This record gives sequence, structure tokens and C-alpha cells, in this order.
Amino acid sequence: MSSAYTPQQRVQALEKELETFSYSVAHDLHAPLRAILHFSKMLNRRAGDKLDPRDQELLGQIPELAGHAQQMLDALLAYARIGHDGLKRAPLNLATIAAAVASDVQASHPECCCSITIDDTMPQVQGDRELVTRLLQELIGNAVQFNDHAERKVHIGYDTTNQAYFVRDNGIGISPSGLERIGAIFCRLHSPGNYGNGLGVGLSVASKIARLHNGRLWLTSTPEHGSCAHFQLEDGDAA
Amino acid sequence: MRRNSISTRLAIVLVLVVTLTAVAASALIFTRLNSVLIESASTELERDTEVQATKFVSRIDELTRDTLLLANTPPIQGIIRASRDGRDPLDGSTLQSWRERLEIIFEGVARHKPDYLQVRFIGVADGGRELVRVNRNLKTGAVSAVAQDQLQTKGSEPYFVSALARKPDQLYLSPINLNREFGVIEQPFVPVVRSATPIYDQSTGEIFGIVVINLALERALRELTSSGDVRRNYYVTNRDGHYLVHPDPARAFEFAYAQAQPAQADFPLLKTLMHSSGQSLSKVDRQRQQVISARRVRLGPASSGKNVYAIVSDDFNDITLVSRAVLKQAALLILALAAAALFIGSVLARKIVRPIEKLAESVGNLDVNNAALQIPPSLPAEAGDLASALQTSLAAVRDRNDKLQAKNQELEQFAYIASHDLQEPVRTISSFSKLLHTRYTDQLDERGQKSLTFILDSCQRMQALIHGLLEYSRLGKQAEPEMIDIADMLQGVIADLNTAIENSKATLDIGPLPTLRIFAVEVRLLFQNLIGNALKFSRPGIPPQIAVTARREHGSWQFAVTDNGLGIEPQAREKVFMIFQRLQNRNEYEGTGIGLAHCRKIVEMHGGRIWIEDGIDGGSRFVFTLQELSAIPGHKEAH
Repeated sequence: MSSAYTPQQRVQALEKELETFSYSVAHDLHAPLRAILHFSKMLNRRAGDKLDPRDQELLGQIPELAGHAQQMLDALLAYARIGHDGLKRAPLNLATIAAAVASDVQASHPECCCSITIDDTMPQVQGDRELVTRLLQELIGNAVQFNDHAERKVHIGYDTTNQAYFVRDNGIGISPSGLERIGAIFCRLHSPGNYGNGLGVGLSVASKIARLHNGRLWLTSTPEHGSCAHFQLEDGDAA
Repeated sequence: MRRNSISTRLAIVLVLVVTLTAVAASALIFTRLNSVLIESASTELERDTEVQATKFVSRIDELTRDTLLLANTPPIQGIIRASRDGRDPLDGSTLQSWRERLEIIFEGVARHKPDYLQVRFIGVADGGRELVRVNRNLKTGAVSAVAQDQLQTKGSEPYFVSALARKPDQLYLSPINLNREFGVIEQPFVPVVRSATPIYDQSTGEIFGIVVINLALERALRELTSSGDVRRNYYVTNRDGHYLVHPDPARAFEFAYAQAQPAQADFPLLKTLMHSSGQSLSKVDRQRQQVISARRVRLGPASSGKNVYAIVSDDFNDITLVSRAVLKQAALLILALAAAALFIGSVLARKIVRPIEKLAESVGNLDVNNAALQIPPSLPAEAGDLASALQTSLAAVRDRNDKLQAKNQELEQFAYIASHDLQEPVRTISSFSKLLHTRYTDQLDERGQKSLTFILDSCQRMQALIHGLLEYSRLGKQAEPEMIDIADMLQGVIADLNTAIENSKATLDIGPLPTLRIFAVEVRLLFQNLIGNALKFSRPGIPPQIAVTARREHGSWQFAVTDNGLGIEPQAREKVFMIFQRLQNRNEYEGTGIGLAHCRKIVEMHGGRIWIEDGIDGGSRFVFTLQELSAIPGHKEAH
């Protein structure tokens, strides 16, 4: 019996471990959360009237908190499972995808005036249509969401100097310290209620999709003048 | 140079090949040469003895001719005629004057033949009285006639009797023996042969006497037994096989003094020759390491049928003298060749190995995380190929390493996020519930109380899970490897588990354990988990027996923790290492089920693996390997 894994075996083992790990974490953590949710609701129903109003509020918050924890758990699981089934690579035209995503985003933000520009000179790339669409959804969504201007401008194109695609906006921008933190999952730079109620997984998801395509994602920003998300999607063989 | 390095081996192989080839060739040539030399030696010996025998025979022939010549000189008949009545009736010469004439002739012949010891005319009358005798003084070599009054009577001598029995002009040749004076063997002994012919009175036809010449055979024998080759051994025997000449002087003419061993006993070849009609025989005697040649040598006229035998032997050692000299030179040559091969071999090997060493050096200096391999320029073809192959596989390893690292990071990140970000809401829920619990326990009915207890239990459980996850993601994060005596470490673990050990009446058997460079906190946790599990999952009512052993295997250490507990079903032996997996009934044993996942992570941090085998009495045996961390390049990045 050999005493060490080969690197190939280790990668496979880790892959499997990640899968079972996320599954068992979700499973094991979900169970007590469900119990908390269930019993707190029951307690509220049966004994809510015996508590004074302040404590009633406390009791009322418990299912809320548990629900939030569950959402986080689900988001985490969803994040872990991105690209889990492998990439289905196909030649993609980013302009077409971006246009489709843009119209969706505009439809979901009917209250704002969006002006989305899409260059049609973007090079073709090999990628997973579903994942790349998700990536653009997150980036364009963010660009529209974190924006105070009356006319929210978004520009999607390809930058030959960086050899990367970009999504640029005229939004609120990100401070340097924010740029450092923003890669982490569940990172919200703003208090809940301001700029939406997201869990802060959007950029993490986009970044992971870029990594899955052997590429990377990075942000540049001038606070108050907007930010720019750059991403590369390399052909699968490049590595 | 390192022992057994490629260059040393190459040099050794080259030296061996050259030396072995040369030795084999020399040995072959040497043996071939030897056998040719030995084969030709017998021919050479035969030819030599033939030449020597011819000389010997001609000497004897000369003796017989001289005998017959002297017998027919006029003074012989003159003496016969004068001895009847004192005066020769033909010319009136006195007996004395005929005698003097004969003495002069005898002296003349003897003087020119240095080997003639005596020349005599012996009459039948007076009991075989000598009539004329010429002697050679053995010391001075001077020849002189013997005075009348000193002449001896030889009537009973065998040669006298035998010669008288011959017909006119027939010759009698005595056997070779030692010269006697007045019946005593002269010293130093002189081998002698006597040649005699009968003298008849021409007028009456009656026998009158004999003429006899004594020949000293020493010179003739020496001629028969000498050649240019001093290393050979020469023997001469008489017709009966008694030695006349022998390298050992004591054995020559031994037969004249005493009973002697004949030569046939020494040389079976001689016996064969004696019974055959051939003139010579040769033999290669491998047993005695000799070549022997024997030849029949005629003694006197062919009609007499008398012979002596000449034997010559030559030792292989002497025959192969030349080839052995060649061999010595060959040995020197081989030594020189080996030295040259060693030199050329090491130079050549150096040349071959140098690029490999360069390459090894640059690979040794390689930083796994640094992208480029610094390959020395101008490597010869094969080393260059090796370098580029290395480069390629290195890139593959790096790529895989990157992937591995990414996966690992993802796993850790997941664990961290799951624990860290979930901690907050759960903590809040927990504190709210505790608050409600303290305030309203009395006011709530039984079901309300139960609900609150459930909430609190769930919070506790979640916190335990989250704590485990957090721990898992933090394992090895800040650790620096240290040299740790694992036996000492185990004493600490046992002390920590003391209560559990005493409660369960467990026995621990700790084998000899090494000192290794490892992550101390993590490995301690590993042992604590495994021994703790062994204590925890024991069979009810049976005191746990736990053994910890270690042995060296393929550059790493293999440890085993064996127990006699509940054991683990073979199909579950992989699964138990997954996080949160617990196989036992949840109520029966406490814990979050994160322990074995920790164990696997710790073992993998040390480049090893962990698995489960059968333990004692259905128990389990956890086996894991640890590599010393100094042996893993870039270990800090490896987890």
C-alpha cells in the first residue's frame, strides 16, 4: 500500500472532499437551523402572549436570524457548486450575451434610467454559456445597483492593453480598503438596506467563474466616479 | 567523487572490460602457445638425440676399425712367428724387435686417440699373458709401453675368453663397465668399453691370442648426453636398463657396486622401446609435466646387436619458459592498459556525468513556486533532452500544484466562511434564547419549556459544529514545524486523557517512537483524536487495549493505533474521514464527528495518508504515515 497520494489522486480526492464537505456541512448545519426555526415559531405561537413586548420582539427575531443563516448557507452551497458539473465549453459571442443580460437587468430595475453600451468588437471566447451569462449578470447587476446617478451608465467592452473584458460604470466606486475586502464571500461593503439586500456573494461568484475559465477577475475604481471590473476568460488549453 | 556515482561505475566498468578482455586473450594465447611448444618439444628432443647418437656410434665404429687394423699389422704375425723359437724365420728379427715394433705402432695409435686407455696384445700361452701393452697414464695423459716384467696375466678375464671364441676378423665388444686395475675399480671411476679381436697364426691357423683396446667412454657418453639446452635431463642406460649416465652422479654405474633399480622402473617408455623394433619413442607425460624421448643407440657393429639407450626429458616448466616470459610482459601490458582505461574512463565519465550533475544542481536549487527552471546552457544532446523533459513535467507538476492549492484554498475558504459568517446569527439566537430561558422558565408550560430547551440545544450543537469547522480551516495555518520527540508528546496526550483511561480501565502499550520534524500542535491533536476515539468507542464491559507503534518505511514513518473496540465496517472505512460523518448512534457518544476529518487533514499536511485496518478482536487499527517536514520542499504552501 503506497503511503502517499499521487498529485492527480490528491486533486481528485480534494474535489470529492469539497463536494461531500459542502454537502455534509449543509446537511448537518441545516438540521439544527430548522429545529430553531420550528421551535421558535411554535414558542411564539403558544407563549408569545406571556412575554412582555420587548421580549416578544426578541423571540420574533429568532426565526428571522435563523432564516438569514439558512439563506447564507444556501448561498454558500450554491457558490460551492458553481461549475461542479464541469464546464460545457462552446464558442461564445460576449456581445450577444451581454445584450441579453442587459435587457434583463433593465427590466428588473424599472425605476432607474440605465444606459448600457456594448462594444461589438469583443473577441470570441471558448466558455460555458450558462456560467459566463451568470458572470455578466453579476457584474452588470452590480454596476446598475451600486449607482446613485440619475443616468446610470454601463460600458461593456474589450481592452486590448490588458487583454481583458471590462464592465465599467459611473457608480459610487469602491474605496481602496473596500477593494481589498471585496473578494471575500459574504462581503458587504454597505449596511443592509443601502444598495439592496444581497448576501455579498455576487463578486465572489463572478470571480470563481473567471477562475474556472482559467482566467481572473479584478477591480479598479475611483471613488465617486465609478468602478471597472476586468475579467479574462482564457481558452481551456492555455494553461 | 561520490561512491557508486555514475562516473565511478563507468570507469570501473571500462577498466573491467579492458582488463578482462586482455586477460582472456592472454590466457588463450598462453595456453595455445604452451601446447604448441610442448607438442614440438618431443620432435626436437628426438632430433637432438639422433644427432648425438650418430656421434656416439661413429666413435665406437672408429674403435672397432682401429682394433681390426691393429690386429692386421705385420708385427702381430711377426711376434707369432718369432715366438716359436725366438727368431723370425722370414727376416731373422728377434721376438724382442717385433715387440718393439708393435709397441711403436700401439703407442702411435694411442697417442692420437686420447680416449684409448690401453692397447694390448695378449697371447693364449702362459695363461693369457700380455705380450705388448701400451698404457695411458690417467693423470698425465702420457702414453708409454709397459716393461716386460710388469705385464699381467689376463687368461681368466671375460673379454679374453669371449674374444678368443670369435672367428678371424670378428670383433668382440665388452659390456660397458668400470676400469679395474688388478681387479679393483679405479677411482674416480672410469667407464670403459673393451674392443677385442682374436689373432690366429696364419701359418697354422691356430688361435694365438687377442688384440684389445680399452676405450674410456666418458667423452663419448658426454657427447651423447649434451646439447645446447642445459635444462634437459639426460640418461644413458646399458642394454639391461642400468644407468650409465644419470643427473644424480650416485646413480650412474650404481649397478657395478650394488643391486640397482633399472631405468624401466623410472621410464615405462624405455620398457616399451626395448620390446619394440623402433629406434626411438617420445611421450608427453602430463602427470609428471615432462616430455620424454628415448632412443636405441647401436653399440659396435650392427651384427652384434648390442645397444645402449639414451633418454632425455624436458620439464614443461623449461619448455614453456618463453611463453611464460611473454606472459609476464603481457601482465605488465594489461596493467598499463587498465591504468589507461581507468584514466580514459574517468575522463570520459566525467564528461558524460558533468552535464547531468549541472542539471541535478539546477533542479536541486529549484524553487517549486518559481516559474522557470534555470537550465545551464549548452548541455549536450541527451542532457538537453532530459532538461526539456524535466521542464515539461515540472510545468505539469506546477499546474497540478496550482490546482491542488486552489482546491485546498476553496475548501478552507468554504469551511471558514461557513463557520465564521454563520457564527454571528447563531450566537445572537443563542443569547436571545438564553435570555428568554432565564426570564420565562417558570411562566411557560411544559411544551413551551421543551421548545426553548430544543432551541438552546440546537444552538449549542450548531456552535459546536461551527467551532469544529473553524478549527478545521485553521489547522496548520500558523504552524512552523519543530523537532518533536513523539514519545514525550504521547506522555502529554495520555496525561490529558487520564480520566478517561482510568474510568475505562484501559491499558496502553506504547512502542518505541521516533523524533521527527513535524507540526507539533497538529500531530498532538491527531494522537489525541485517535487514542480518544479508541477509548470512546470501546466495547461495553471490556477494558480497552490500545497499542501505538511506529516503523520506518520508504523514507517516511508509519504509525498505527490499534484497539479492541467496536471496530468499523469495511464499507465505512473511507467515509469516516469525511467531515461531520458519524457512524455511531448520536445519543450514545458525544462529539461533532469532525475528529477524523481533522486527522486526515493533519496527516495530509505531513505528506502522508491515513487508513483503517482490522485491529484486535474485531477492533480497528488506524494506520497513518508522516513524512518529516524538512523532506518536503515548500511544505508551507502544501496545505
